Formats: sequence, C-alpha cells, structure tokens
Amino acid sequence: MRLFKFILIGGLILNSVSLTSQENDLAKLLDSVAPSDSKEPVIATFKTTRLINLTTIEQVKRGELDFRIAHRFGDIAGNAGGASQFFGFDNVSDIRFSFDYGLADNWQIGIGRSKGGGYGQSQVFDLNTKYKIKQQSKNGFPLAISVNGGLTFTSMESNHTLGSTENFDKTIAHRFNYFGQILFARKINDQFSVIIAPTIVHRNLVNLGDNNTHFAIAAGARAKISKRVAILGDYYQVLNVSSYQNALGHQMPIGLGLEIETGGHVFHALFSTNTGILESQFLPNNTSKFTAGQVRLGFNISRIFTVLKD
Amino acid sequence: MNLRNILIVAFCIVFQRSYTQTWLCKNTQVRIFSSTPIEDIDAKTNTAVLALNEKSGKVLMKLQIKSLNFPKKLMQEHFNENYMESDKYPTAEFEGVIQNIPDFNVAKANELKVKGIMTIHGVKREVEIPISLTTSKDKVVGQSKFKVKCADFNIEIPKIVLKNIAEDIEVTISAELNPIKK
Repeated sequence: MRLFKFILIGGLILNSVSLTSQENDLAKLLDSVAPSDSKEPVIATFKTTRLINLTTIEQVKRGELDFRIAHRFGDIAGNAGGASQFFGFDNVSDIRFSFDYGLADNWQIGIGRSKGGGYGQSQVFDLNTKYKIKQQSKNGFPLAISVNGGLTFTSMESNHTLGSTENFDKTIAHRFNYFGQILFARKINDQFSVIIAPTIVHRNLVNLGDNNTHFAIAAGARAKISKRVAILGDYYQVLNVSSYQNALGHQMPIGLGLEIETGGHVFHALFSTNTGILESQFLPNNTSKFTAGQVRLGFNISRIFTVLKD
Repeated sequence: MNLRNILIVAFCIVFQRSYTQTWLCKNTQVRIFSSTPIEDIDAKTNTAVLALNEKSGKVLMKLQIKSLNFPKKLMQEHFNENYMESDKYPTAEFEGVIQNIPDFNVAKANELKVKGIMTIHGVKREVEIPISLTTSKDKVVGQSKFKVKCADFNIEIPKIVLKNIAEDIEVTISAELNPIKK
C-alpha cells in the first residue's frame, strides 16, 4: 500500500505541475500563432489629400469621392486690406471646387475648377492624378512615396492683345499649364508627419523674360495637438525665379493652418500668402509679401462620400 | 492479488488528466456591429486567435485591432486613429475561465458562461460573456455574441458624431478549434 500511496501522491504532483505548465503554454501557444504586426502599413500620415498649398501622400481610397471646397479671402492688411475691407473678408482671392475619386487604394483621379488667383489667367479647369508608389511600413520601408501631377486649362476669353498671357488666338495649347511632383513623406511618430516634394511647373504661354518651366522644392508638416485637431504648415522654395518675376517682387508661397476633423469632414482654417490655389498659378506668380500684411485667411473643406463599397 | 490491478487502475485515474487537450483556432472570426439611423458600423476579421484548455477551462483570445476590415476605408482609418488608437493599443485580449466546464469527450452543444478579463483600448475589465461550445471528438465549435459599451473602455465618441455611432457595439465571435496534443 505504501507503493500505492507513493504513486498516487507522485501522480498528483506530476499532474498539477503539468496543469500549470499547460496554463503557461496556452499563452505561449497563442503568441506563437498570433499574426505579427512587424510589417504593418503606417496609416494616417496626413488626414486629407492636401495641406494648405501642398498635396500630401494621402489618397482618396477606392470607391470614395472627395468633394473639396477651397477658399482664399483678400489681403488682411496692406494696401488692399485693412479695416475698410473687413480684413480681407470683403474680397475673394481664389475659390476652387474639386472632386477626387479613388480608382484604387493607391490611385486617384480628380477634376477641379478655380476662379484663378488674379495672376492673369483665370477661369481654370484642372485634371489631376496621384499614384502611391510606396507605402511606409512599421519596421519596414521608412517613407511613403507618391507621384502627383496634372494639367490646367483656362476657359477665359482671349483678349486678342499682342504679347498678353491672356491672348489665346494663336493656339489652344496656350491655354494649358502642367505640373508634376514626387512626394516623399514620413510619419515620424503618432503626432508628427513631414513631407518633401520636388516640383515642376510648366506654362505654355508666359510673359517676355519669364520662364516657361519652374522648379521648386516644397516642404510641409502636420503636428497633431489632439485626437482631431492638428497644425499644418507648408512652404515652396522656387529654385529658378525668372528675372521677370523678380522684377515684380516674387515671394515664396507660405501656408499655415489648423486642421479639424469630424467624421467624414476635414476642415482647414488657414493663412496663406499666395492668392492662388493651383500650383501652376501660385508657384511662379506669387508676389504677396507676408511682411507687408499681404496674407489672407482661407479655408479648405473636404467631405468624403462612399460611392462604391467593398 | 488485486494490489497490482488496483495500482494500475489508480495510476490510470491519476494520470488520465495529463492527456488533457489544448484546443486552438488560428482564424477566429470576429465581427463588430452597431447601427444608428445614420450609419451602420460593420467590420470583420478572421485572423483572431483563440486557445482553450479543456481541463482548466481556461480561454485566451487575441485580436489585432488593425485587422478589422471595414467596407468604408475612411471609417477604418478613423476607427484605428481616433477611437481605438491602435498604434498605442494594437490588440484586444480576453483571458477567462469557463464556469461549468463541459465534458469534451461527449459530442454536445453546450450553453456556457465564461468569466474573465477583457482588455480593449488598454483598459482591463472583468466581464462575463455567454458562449456556446459544440464539442466533438476532433473539433470544437465556439460561438459568442455580446455587447461592449464604448464608455467602459474609455473609447470617446465626440458629441458631434454621437448620432452616427452607437454607444454599444455588438461583438460576434465564431471559432472552429482543433486539438493540439500535448
């Protein structure tokens, strides 16, 4: 019987040991089969497809339609602003309506219409497209890379004046401008994202002494200050300002804004030096000087509609 | 004469337990659903993992929040970015014990309760959820449906979108578990 007891007790001990080890094994087992997040894509680098003046690497997702309204008021101060103009609210520098549609999660196309920023050519239609080449991933590729480009077409009436940039009598090609960008962005942490974009703008019809093609480097950033509010900023450094534009007093476009997001809406309350909204307008032509009070309030509104569901 | 037989029987009884099986499902389906007059929220995944020990009745489950797939991609982004903060809290977990452990050797549909700790959005809460377990020799089918209150897990819904998002989210879990022999 002693042997019996021995086996019984021994067995019970063994049994309890095996039970507790199984408990630990259960957690280990689960961890061993749980999908790892090591190569997980980094999402929400920016909240919407544009900062103030600069496009972001964010896309309208497949089957979604982004309706945007961008508005720029008149100069806050300076000669054209001040109290008599209610700090710019009496004037409209530029308005753009646009629709962007996601053909795929990494490819969108868009169409827009702008009043024009008062740089000569106005009544501008634009077509654009953006394609994401590379997605930033956690512990993987460090950057998101996209290409963005498009063309603009002015529908304004020709003024038939020799040498004018609003004379389209010679060829319809003079109504077209083009722009292209490569966007490199990185979400550095939960709160902060940056973007750099080498940019090219080509205008078919320009004034004497102006460049048809301008090159620029754009930089922008977004800093979240709460779950739904962020501060935005962007800046364009034009690399080859023409002698013609220099004589007019060319200024680098600067944008600064507050981003507020509520469900399907994204709202930007912003300041910008440039009057125009399209790259081919503000990049070569901007003469509004920040230090002269030629800065304006504006807003961007984005509303996403789901057209196609998965 | 009988001593040897008794010993053998005793030995068998005592060691029977070490044949306990662990059951595992690597592709557990999870669906979250809420409905308001304005917007339905409906997301699914089938990559959650679930493990169960049939003797101790212990149940473990783990879900990658980002694996939940929404028909509206923007909603998915908001879900991860604004509500679940999935970069900070990448998983939802459950660790519990079946209250009245059924006999896994008998093929039967059992309605049971599991008591344990649920961790969502970094918040741990004690919960009791109903499960149905259909046992059979080489397969256990588990199913559960329960409601999760967003406020219980510090998931804030701003007033401006309160009409679009229900405060209770219905969670449905279904798993087909296979035995892992130890």
